[in-house]
Amino acid sequence: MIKLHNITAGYNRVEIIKNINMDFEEGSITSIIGKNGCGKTTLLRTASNLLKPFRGEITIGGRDISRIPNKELAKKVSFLPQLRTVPNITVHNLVMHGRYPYLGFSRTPQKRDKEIVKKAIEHMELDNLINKNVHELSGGQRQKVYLAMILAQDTDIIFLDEPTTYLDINHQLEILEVIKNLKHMGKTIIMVLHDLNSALSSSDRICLMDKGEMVIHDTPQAVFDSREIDRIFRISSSQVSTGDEGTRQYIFYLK
Amino acid sequence: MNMLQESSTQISFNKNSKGYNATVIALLIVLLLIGVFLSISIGSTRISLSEIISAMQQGDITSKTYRIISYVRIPRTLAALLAGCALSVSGAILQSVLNNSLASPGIIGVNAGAGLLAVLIAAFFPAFLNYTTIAAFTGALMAVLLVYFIARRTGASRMAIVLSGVAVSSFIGAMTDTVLTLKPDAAIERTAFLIGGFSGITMGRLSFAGCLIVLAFFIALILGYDMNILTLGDQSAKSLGLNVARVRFVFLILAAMLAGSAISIAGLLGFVGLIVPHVSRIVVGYDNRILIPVSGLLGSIFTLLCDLLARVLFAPFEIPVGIIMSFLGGPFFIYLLIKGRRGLLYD
Repeated sequence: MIKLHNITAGYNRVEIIKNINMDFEEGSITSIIGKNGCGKTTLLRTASNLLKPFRGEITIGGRDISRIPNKELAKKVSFLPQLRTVPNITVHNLVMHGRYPYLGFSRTPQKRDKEIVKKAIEHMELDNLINKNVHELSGGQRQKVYLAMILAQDTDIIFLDEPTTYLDINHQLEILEVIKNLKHMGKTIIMVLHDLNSALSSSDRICLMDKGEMVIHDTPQAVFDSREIDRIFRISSSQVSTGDEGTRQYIFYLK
Repeated sequence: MNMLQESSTQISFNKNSKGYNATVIALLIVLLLIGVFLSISIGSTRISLSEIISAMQQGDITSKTYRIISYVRIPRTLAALLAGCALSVSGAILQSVLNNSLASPGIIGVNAGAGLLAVLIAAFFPAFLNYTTIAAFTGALMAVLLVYFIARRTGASRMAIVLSGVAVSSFIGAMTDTVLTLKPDAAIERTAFLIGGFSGITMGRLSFAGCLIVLAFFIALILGYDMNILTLGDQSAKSLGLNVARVRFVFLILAAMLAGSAISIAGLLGFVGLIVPHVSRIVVGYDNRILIPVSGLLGSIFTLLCDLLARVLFAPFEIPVGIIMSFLGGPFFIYLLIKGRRGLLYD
């Protein structure tokens, strides 16, 4: 269980997020939503220990995250940033990078590392792209390769910063399915999403932020019913049921 | 969460790459040995392979052939081999770590720092001109440390390092120009240092720099995989457990050790550090575990070849090797750019 206690954080001494208290349920998907510049990514980076908070403490299983050695933490928590430097390497080699925290001094992957990488590639259905250069892939394929790398890292907690941004609708939905599969494997997913419908329809919990503060952290239905989304984004929203299973979808429009 | 239980489908991996890389390394080693032989054999006096073997077996210090080989050709060959390897590996490290196609030892202040100390010796301590090599090495290292500590104030990002490198180089360049304005006589020494070359190299001058180059080269080889992780970007690398700031600092020091040592042997031979890593990437790709040794070998071969041409093209006159390098390397680099070969640009 990952817990944030009174977290205040930001950049260059400017506070972006203030006094955040929350915990993330194991084996669930939490989406952080809010307007541009409200501190979503700052919260994600702080919770994953990429950014040191000004005040407060983050714990994993009761241990202060800042006191856990880098490689040990990398076996517990992984983070996929939105903007990345795309290296000029093959799909297989990129996925193998996910095993870095487990490699010894010689940095030579062992049999187990190779097997886990193989499984991660299979799981993401990237078998036919294994020797392709990552640069040659489409945005959606590339995102799946990075998710395979995260899968190979084999952490229980996964942070994703806008994993569906810049993707066409087909790939967006595909990536969201992959994320749901990760949850079914027992992973705890915490992600920033811009698309409100995707966030509400794919998550177990929603964390709505405004001006660096957490407004509400609850189930999608409770957050929708609170009408806080409408207030903060200055929009109106409706809920509809789709398909035979009556899956809930959300539509948003200007008042 | 054990992923081993998830699936059992077999997939095939590219098994050719290891064989290809081994073939490239073997081929380059053969080329290097040919280059070493030619460098020892060719010059104002031509020495055949049998003469070389016989002279070295007899070890007769009174023999002219032995003296030429031991005191002139071998030190010179070793100098070209070491300097070429060091500058190329230094360039490969910097291009990878800073993710910048234009990165070469000069970009982190190595050339400026070495140049200033060389000019200071020539201007104010002419009695210590023999120590120019060590001074140049010290200057290079100090400049890089200054660049890093300035960049660290802003988080030691790649861009911060490049920008502080440009600023520090410019500032040190102004200091050098001020010294040259006040003491114009120092300009002669400076010109020789700027062009670079291997004439008059002795084993004594080589030993210190050679040890540093070999040490830094092997550390870079060991850390090749960490360099690969660093190319994922700071956030991804940190998330994988890499101490980004510390590893980047180690690589900058390694690059400075390599380039500073090379400069202390041969003066400023900057071009090799820019072009050879790019050509190496075309041959073996971007994996630093193979790129580092291939860059080192190619750099040695290229520098040996240029030095050989410098010696024989207008014999008995000798052209500074830096000029040959630019004449050969410049057009070749432009050719590669125009052809737009995949993998040339680091992006």
